[in-house]
Amino acid sequence: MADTAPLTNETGPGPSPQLTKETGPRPSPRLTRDTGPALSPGARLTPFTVTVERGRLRFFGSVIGLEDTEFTSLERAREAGHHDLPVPPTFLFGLELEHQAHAQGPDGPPVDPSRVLHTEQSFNYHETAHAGDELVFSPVITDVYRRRAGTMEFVVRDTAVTRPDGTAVADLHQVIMVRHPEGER
Amino acid sequence: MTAPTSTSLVGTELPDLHPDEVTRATLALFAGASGDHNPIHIDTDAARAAGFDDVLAHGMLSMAFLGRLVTSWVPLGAVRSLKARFSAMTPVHARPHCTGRVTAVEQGADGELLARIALAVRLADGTLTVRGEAVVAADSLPTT
Repeated sequence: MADTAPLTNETGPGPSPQLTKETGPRPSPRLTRDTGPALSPGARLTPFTVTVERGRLRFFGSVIGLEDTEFTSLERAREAGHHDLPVPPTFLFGLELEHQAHAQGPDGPPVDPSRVLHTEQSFNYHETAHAGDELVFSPVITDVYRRRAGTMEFVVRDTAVTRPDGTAVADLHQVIMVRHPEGER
Repeated sequence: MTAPTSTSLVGTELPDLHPDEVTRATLALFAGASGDHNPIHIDTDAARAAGFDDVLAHGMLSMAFLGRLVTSWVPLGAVRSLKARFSAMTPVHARPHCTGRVTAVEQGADGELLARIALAVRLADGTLTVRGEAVVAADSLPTT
Protein backbone atom coordinates (compact mmCIF):
# COMPACT_ATOMS: atom_id res chain seq x y z
CA MET A 1 0.00 0.00 0.00
CA ALA A 2 1.36 3.37 -0.90
CA ASP A 3 2.15 5.94 1.73
CA THR A 4 -0.44 8.37 0.65
CA ALA A 5 -1.56 9.39 4.09
CA PRO A 6 -2.64 12.93 3.33
CA LEU A 7 -4.99 11.74 0.64
CA THR A 8 -6.43 8.66 2.28
CA ASN A 9 -9.27 7.97 4.65
CA GLU A 10 -8.47 4.36 5.31
CA THR A 11 -7.42 4.75 8.91
CA GLY A 12 -10.86 3.67 10.03
CA PRO A 13 -11.43 0.98 12.66
CA GLY A 14 -10.22 -2.51 11.93
CA PRO A 15 -7.07 -3.94 10.40
CA SER A 16 -5.55 -2.55 7.24
CA PRO A 17 -7.06 -4.24 4.23
CA GLN A 18 -3.79 -5.77 3.09
CA LEU A 19 -3.43 -7.69 6.35
CA THR A 20 -6.76 -9.41 6.19
CA LYS A 21 -7.09 -12.71 4.39
CA GLU A 22 -10.45 -14.02 5.53
CA THR A 23 -12.54 -15.75 2.99
CA GLY A 24 -16.28 -15.59 2.94
CA PRO A 25 -18.49 -12.59 3.37
CA ARG A 26 -17.30 -9.72 5.48
CA PRO A 27 -17.88 -6.02 5.38
CA SER A 28 -16.23 -4.35 2.44
CA PRO A 29 -12.89 -3.01 3.70
CA ARG A 30 -13.82 0.50 2.65
CA LEU A 31 -11.04 0.83 0.15
CA THR A 32 -12.95 3.48 -1.67
CA ARG A 33 -15.54 6.00 -0.67
CA ASP A 34 -17.86 4.42 -3.22
CA THR A 35 -19.17 2.04 -0.57
CA GLY A 36 -21.41 4.84 0.70
CA PRO A 37 -24.64 5.91 -0.94
CA ALA A 38 -23.10 9.18 -2.11
CA LEU A 39 -21.35 7.52 -5.02
CA SER A 40 -24.32 5.67 -6.35
CA PRO A 41 -25.18 6.49 -9.95
CA GLY A 42 -26.96 9.80 -10.23
CA ALA A 43 -25.28 11.28 -7.16
CA ARG A 44 -24.73 14.99 -7.61
CA LEU A 45 -21.57 16.17 -5.91
CA THR A 46 -21.19 19.64 -4.47
CA PRO A 47 -20.61 22.26 -7.20
CA PHE A 48 -17.50 24.39 -6.78
CA THR A 49 -16.05 27.51 -8.37
CA VAL A 50 -12.48 27.98 -9.55
CA THR A 51 -10.82 31.10 -10.94
CA VAL A 52 -8.47 30.31 -13.82
CA GLU A 53 -5.03 31.73 -13.07
CA ARG A 54 -2.82 33.14 -15.79
CA GLY A 55 0.40 31.90 -14.17
CA ARG A 56 -1.02 28.42 -13.89
CA LEU A 57 -1.96 28.37 -17.57
CA ARG A 58 1.55 29.50 -18.47
CA PHE A 59 3.05 26.75 -16.28
CA PHE A 60 0.78 24.09 -17.79
CA GLY A 61 1.51 25.27 -21.33
CA SER A 62 5.25 25.33 -20.85
CA VAL A 63 5.31 21.78 -19.41
CA ILE A 64 3.50 20.36 -22.44
CA GLY A 65 5.69 22.20 -24.94
CA LEU A 66 3.59 25.25 -25.76
CA GLU A 67 6.19 27.93 -25.05
CA ASP A 68 5.77 31.08 -27.11
CA THR A 69 2.24 30.28 -28.22
CA GLU A 70 -1.13 31.83 -27.44
CA PHE A 71 -1.30 29.48 -24.41
CA THR A 72 1.76 30.93 -22.69
CA SER A 73 2.38 34.38 -24.23
CA LEU A 74 -0.05 37.23 -23.72
CA GLU A 75 1.24 38.86 -26.88
CA ARG A 76 0.58 35.75 -28.95
CA ALA A 77 -2.81 35.31 -27.30
CA ARG A 78 -3.82 38.83 -28.31
CA GLU A 79 -2.54 38.28 -31.84
CA ALA A 80 -4.84 35.26 -31.98
CA GLY A 81 -7.80 37.37 -30.87
CA HIS A 82 -7.92 36.42 -27.18
CA HIS A 83 -8.16 39.04 -24.44
CA ASP A 84 -6.02 36.88 -22.13
CA LEU A 85 -4.36 33.45 -22.19
CA PRO A 86 -6.91 30.85 -23.32
CA VAL A 87 -7.49 27.60 -21.46
CA PRO A 88 -5.96 24.72 -23.48
CA PRO A 89 -8.19 21.76 -24.38
CA THR A 90 -7.44 19.43 -21.46
CA PHE A 91 -6.64 21.90 -18.67
CA LEU A 92 -10.05 21.86 -16.95
CA PHE A 93 -9.62 18.22 -15.98
CA GLY A 94 -6.83 19.08 -13.54
CA LEU A 95 -8.78 21.88 -11.90
CA GLU A 96 -11.48 19.38 -11.05
CA LEU A 97 -9.07 16.73 -9.83
CA GLU A 98 -7.21 19.22 -7.69
CA HIS A 99 -10.40 20.40 -6.06
CA GLN A 100 -11.38 16.79 -5.43
CA ALA A 101 -8.03 16.04 -3.77
CA HIS A 102 -8.71 18.66 -1.12
CA ALA A 103 -12.39 17.93 -0.59
CA GLN A 104 -13.88 15.67 2.06
CA GLY A 105 -16.33 12.78 1.99
CA PRO A 106 -18.06 11.92 -1.25
CA ASP A 107 -16.63 15.03 -2.93
CA GLY A 108 -13.13 13.92 -2.00
CA PRO A 109 -10.65 11.55 -3.62
CA PRO A 110 -10.85 7.78 -3.68
CA VAL A 111 -9.31 6.39 -0.52
CA ASP A 112 -6.13 5.20 -2.18
CA PRO A 113 -5.25 7.17 -5.34
CA SER A 114 -2.46 4.73 -6.19
CA ARG A 115 -5.17 2.19 -7.07
CA VAL A 116 -6.81 4.53 -9.53
CA LEU A 117 -6.24 4.38 -13.27
CA HIS A 118 -7.74 6.85 -15.68
CA THR A 119 -9.29 4.89 -18.53
CA GLU A 120 -11.28 7.43 -20.50
CA GLN A 121 -11.70 11.19 -20.76
CA SER A 122 -13.61 13.49 -23.04
CA PHE A 123 -14.40 17.17 -23.36
CA ASN A 124 -17.18 18.89 -25.27
CA TYR A 125 -16.51 22.58 -25.73
CA HIS A 126 -19.09 25.33 -25.89
CA GLU A 127 -17.04 28.46 -25.31
CA THR A 128 -13.36 29.26 -24.83
CA ALA A 129 -12.39 30.10 -21.26
CA HIS A 130 -9.55 32.47 -20.43
CA ALA A 131 -7.29 33.43 -17.55
CA GLY A 132 -9.29 35.38 -14.97
CA ASP A 133 -12.54 33.56 -15.70
CA GLU A 134 -14.58 32.13 -12.85
CA LEU A 135 -15.81 28.66 -13.69
CA VAL A 136 -18.41 26.61 -11.88
CA PHE A 137 -17.93 22.81 -11.89
CA SER A 138 -21.01 20.62 -11.26
CA PRO A 139 -20.01 16.95 -11.10
CA VAL A 140 -22.46 14.05 -11.26
CA ILE A 141 -21.55 10.40 -10.76
CA THR A 142 -23.33 8.87 -13.73
CA ASP A 143 -22.35 5.24 -13.28
CA VAL A 144 -20.49 2.88 -10.95
CA TYR A 145 -19.93 -0.74 -11.88
CA ARG A 146 -17.58 -3.64 -11.30
CA ARG A 147 -15.92 -6.06 -13.70
CA ARG A 148 -13.67 -9.12 -13.51
CA ALA A 149 -15.07 -10.63 -10.33
CA GLY A 150 -15.12 -7.29 -8.62
CA THR A 151 -11.41 -6.61 -9.05
CA MET A 152 -12.05 -3.61 -11.28
CA GLU A 153 -14.44 -0.90 -10.24
CA PHE A 154 -15.35 1.74 -12.78
CA VAL A 155 -16.62 5.17 -11.76
CA VAL A 156 -18.08 7.44 -14.45
CA ARG A 157 -18.26 11.12 -13.69
CA ASP A 158 -19.78 13.87 -15.84
CA THR A 159 -19.05 17.46 -14.98
CA ALA A 160 -20.70 20.50 -16.49
CA VAL A 161 -18.46 23.57 -16.45
CA THR A 162 -20.29 26.88 -16.73
CA ARG A 163 -19.81 30.54 -16.04
CA PRO A 164 -21.45 31.84 -12.85
CA ASP A 165 -24.44 33.03 -14.96
CA GLY A 166 -24.95 29.48 -16.24
CA THR A 167 -23.44 29.91 -19.72
CA ALA A 168 -22.00 26.54 -20.81
CA VAL A 169 -18.21 26.41 -21.22
CA ALA A 170 -17.45 22.69 -21.42
CA ASP A 171 -18.70 19.25 -20.44
CA LEU A 172 -16.20 16.79 -19.03
CA HIS A 173 -16.69 13.02 -19.06
CA GLN A 174 -14.33 10.87 -17.04
CA VAL A 175 -14.02 7.14 -16.42
CA ILE A 176 -11.65 5.90 -13.77
CA MET A 177 -10.91 2.34 -12.75
CA VAL A 178 -10.14 1.50 -9.15
CA ARG A 179 -8.16 -1.71 -8.78
CA HIS A 180 -9.32 -4.10 -6.05
CA PRO A 181 -6.90 -7.03 -6.31
CA GLU A 182 -8.75 -8.94 -3.60
CA GLY A 183 -11.98 -8.70 -5.56
CA GLU A 184 -14.19 -7.92 -2.62
CA ARG A 185 -17.92 -7.75 -3.11
CA MET B 1 -16.89 25.11 -47.66
CA THR B 2 -18.32 23.37 -50.66
CA ALA B 3 -18.87 19.65 -50.63
CA PRO B 4 -15.99 18.70 -52.96
CA THR B 5 -13.47 20.61 -50.84
CA SER B 6 -14.80 18.99 -47.66
CA THR B 7 -14.71 15.46 -49.00
CA SER B 8 -11.19 15.95 -50.23
CA LEU B 9 -10.17 16.65 -46.64
CA VAL B 10 -10.88 13.07 -45.62
CA GLY B 11 -7.59 11.23 -45.27
CA THR B 12 -5.63 14.39 -44.56
CA GLU B 13 -2.93 13.73 -42.00
CA LEU B 14 -2.03 16.25 -39.35
CA PRO B 15 1.68 16.99 -38.97
CA ASP B 16 2.99 14.44 -36.42
CA LEU B 17 3.93 15.63 -32.98
CA HIS B 18 7.02 14.23 -31.27
CA PRO B 19 7.15 15.67 -27.76
CA ASP B 20 10.38 15.43 -25.78
CA GLU B 21 11.20 12.34 -23.74
CA VAL B 22 8.95 11.98 -20.69
CA THR B 23 11.43 12.38 -17.83
CA ARG B 24 10.84 12.26 -14.08
CA ALA B 25 11.10 16.03 -14.16
CA THR B 26 8.35 16.19 -16.80
CA LEU B 27 6.09 14.12 -14.56
CA ALA B 28 6.82 16.19 -11.47
CA LEU B 29 6.17 19.43 -13.32
CA PHE B 30 3.06 18.08 -15.02
CA ALA B 31 1.70 16.95 -11.63
CA GLY B 32 2.08 20.47 -10.32
CA ALA B 33 0.85 22.20 -13.45
CA SER B 34 -2.13 19.96 -14.07
CA GLY B 35 -3.23 19.35 -10.48
CA ASP B 36 -2.95 15.56 -10.74
CA HIS B 37 -0.85 14.67 -7.71
CA ASN B 38 -1.38 10.92 -7.80
CA PRO B 39 1.88 9.55 -6.32
CA ILE B 40 2.16 6.74 -8.88
CA HIS B 41 3.30 9.42 -11.34
CA ILE B 42 5.89 11.13 -9.18
CA ASP B 43 7.03 8.84 -6.38
CA THR B 44 8.87 5.64 -7.30
CA ASP B 45 8.23 4.14 -3.87
CA ALA B 46 4.49 4.70 -4.22
CA ALA B 47 4.53 3.32 -7.77
CA ARG B 48 6.30 0.14 -6.59
CA ALA B 49 3.97 -0.26 -3.63
CA ALA B 50 1.09 -0.09 -6.10
CA GLY B 51 2.63 -2.93 -8.12
CA PHE B 52 4.39 -1.01 -10.91
CA ASP B 53 8.09 -1.18 -11.77
CA ASP B 54 8.50 2.57 -11.75
CA VAL B 55 6.54 5.80 -12.06
CA LEU B 56 4.12 6.04 -14.99
CA ALA B 57 3.18 9.05 -17.03
CA HIS B 58 -0.20 10.67 -16.48
CA GLY B 59 -2.70 9.64 -19.13
CA MET B 60 -3.63 13.30 -19.24
CA LEU B 61 -0.08 14.21 -20.28
CA SER B 62 -0.61 12.19 -23.46
CA MET B 63 -4.03 13.74 -23.90
CA ALA B 64 -2.52 17.20 -23.42
CA PHE B 65 -0.16 16.36 -26.29
CA LEU B 66 -3.18 15.42 -28.41
CA GLY B 67 -4.75 18.76 -27.56
CA ARG B 68 -1.50 20.41 -28.63
CA LEU B 69 -1.49 18.44 -31.89
CA VAL B 70 -5.04 19.53 -32.71
CA THR B 71 -4.64 23.20 -31.75
CA SER B 72 -1.42 23.44 -33.73
CA TRP B 73 -3.54 22.60 -36.77
CA VAL B 74 -6.84 24.41 -36.17
CA PRO B 75 -7.61 27.40 -33.94
CA LEU B 76 -8.64 26.57 -30.37
CA GLY B 77 -12.10 28.05 -30.91
CA ALA B 78 -12.76 25.58 -33.72
CA VAL B 79 -12.36 22.52 -31.49
CA ARG B 80 -15.79 21.11 -30.62
CA SER B 81 -14.74 18.00 -28.71
CA LEU B 82 -11.75 15.91 -27.71
CA LYS B 83 -11.92 12.33 -26.48
CA ALA B 84 -9.33 9.83 -25.33
CA ARG B 85 -9.29 6.22 -24.28
CA PHE B 86 -6.18 5.15 -22.38
CA SER B 87 -5.19 1.64 -23.39
CA ALA B 88 -1.62 1.15 -22.18
CA MET B 89 0.74 2.67 -19.65
CA THR B 90 3.35 5.21 -20.65
CA PRO B 91 6.52 4.45 -18.68
CA VAL B 92 8.96 7.14 -17.60
CA HIS B 93 11.56 7.81 -20.36
CA ALA B 94 8.99 7.08 -23.08
CA ARG B 95 8.99 9.12 -26.26
CA PRO B 96 5.36 9.45 -27.25
CA HIS B 97 4.49 10.00 -30.87
CA CYS B 98 1.15 11.66 -31.68
CA THR B 99 -0.69 11.36 -34.98
CA GLY B 100 -4.00 12.51 -36.39
CA ARG B 101 -5.94 11.90 -39.55
CA VAL B 102 -9.24 13.28 -40.81
CA THR B 103 -11.69 10.39 -41.09
CA ALA B 104 -14.96 12.14 -41.96
CA VAL B 105 -16.50 15.47 -42.79
CA GLU B 106 -20.16 15.65 -41.90
CA GLN B 107 -22.93 17.95 -40.86
CA GLY B 108 -23.36 18.38 -37.12
CA ALA B 109 -26.72 18.50 -35.31
CA ASP B 110 -26.92 22.28 -35.65
CA GLY B 111 -25.97 22.23 -39.34
CA GLU B 112 -22.31 23.07 -38.83
CA LEU B 113 -19.88 21.21 -41.07
CA LEU B 114 -17.58 19.19 -38.83
CA ALA B 115 -14.40 17.23 -39.41
CA ARG B 116 -13.70 14.13 -37.36
CA ILE B 117 -10.03 13.48 -36.63
CA ALA B 118 -8.81 10.09 -35.42
CA LEU B 119 -5.95 10.56 -32.96
CA ALA B 120 -3.37 8.17 -31.58
CA VAL B 121 -0.41 8.22 -29.23
CA ARG B 122 2.17 5.47 -29.62
CA LEU B 123 5.44 4.63 -27.91
CA ALA B 124 8.68 4.09 -29.81
CA ASP B 125 8.06 0.31 -29.88
CA GLY B 126 4.67 0.88 -31.51
CA THR B 127 2.52 0.31 -28.40
CA LEU B 128 -0.73 2.23 -28.70
CA THR B 129 -1.21 4.12 -25.42
CA VAL B 130 -4.08 6.42 -26.33
CA ARG B 131 -6.70 6.33 -29.01
CA GLY B 132 -8.62 9.54 -29.37
CA GLU B 133 -10.86 11.63 -31.50
CA ALA B 134 -11.31 15.32 -32.08
CA VAL B 135 -14.23 17.02 -33.78
CA VAL B 136 -13.44 20.43 -35.24
CA ALA B 137 -15.25 23.00 -37.36
CA ALA B 138 -14.46 21.95 -40.93
CA ASP B 139 -14.27 25.52 -42.23
CA SER B 140 -11.27 26.12 -39.98
CA LEU B 141 -9.14 23.39 -41.54
CA PRO B 142 -6.02 24.45 -43.40
CA THR B 143 -6.88 24.14 -47.08
CA THR B 144 -3.37 23.66 -48.46
